[in-house]
Amino acid sequence: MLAFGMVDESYLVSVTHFREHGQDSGSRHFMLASASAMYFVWAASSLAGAMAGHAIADPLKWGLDFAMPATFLTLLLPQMVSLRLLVVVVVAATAATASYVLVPGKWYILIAVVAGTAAGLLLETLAEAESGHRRGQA
Amino acid sequence: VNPYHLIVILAMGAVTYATRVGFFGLTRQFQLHPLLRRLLEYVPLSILAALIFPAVLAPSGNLESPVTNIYVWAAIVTSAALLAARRPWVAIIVGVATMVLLRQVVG
Repeated sequence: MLAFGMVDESYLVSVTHFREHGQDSGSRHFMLASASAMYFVWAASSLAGAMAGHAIADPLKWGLDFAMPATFLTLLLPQMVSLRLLVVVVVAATAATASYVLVPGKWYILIAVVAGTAAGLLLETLAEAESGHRRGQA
Repeated sequence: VNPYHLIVILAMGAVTYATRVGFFGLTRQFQLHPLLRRLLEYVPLSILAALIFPAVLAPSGNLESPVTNIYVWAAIVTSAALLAARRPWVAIIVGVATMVLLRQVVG
């Protein structure tokens, strides 16, 4: 059931919450709350948009096209808690921007994911090799 | 309500639900390969980066000079607001307001 509410925003709010307060602090309830909040606000805004959308003649003038990048930006910044994750973001951002400009369609997201995860795995492997034969996992 | 529309909406819901719950079901049945598990950790950040940076650096579909690109400046202000206020909603409002102001001044 909870999986249904896994949208970008509720996922990230939940993940940040778990990291700050520990895994077990009512994780199911927190996810359910963030997901349902997301769901109802989403439905309400869609309704409002459908009814009143024509009143806004030029959404660009209101800066609304920047609302989405701004939202994701505020979600991304707190996630960059280590140098490795910073590198992943830089690699993914570079790959995404380059392929966004060069390749038509939505491929840039897939390309960025491949590049970002590859960078993350590479750094992880290098760090492990450097720290010798330390057993166990992160 | 048009029954066709209702069916389409329900079907879309089912597909969306299946993609999400299906993955959890699969990983519960089969042990995920450790390598795959590690890779998956970096997916959310990569997607976020992919959603933000092209939209900011190349809003028109082409790479723009960051100096004259108001999206870049609005993004910088948003980040600064997040660092200062520590509240995402404040940063979002400040960022969008900056965008409006910049459009008034520049564009």
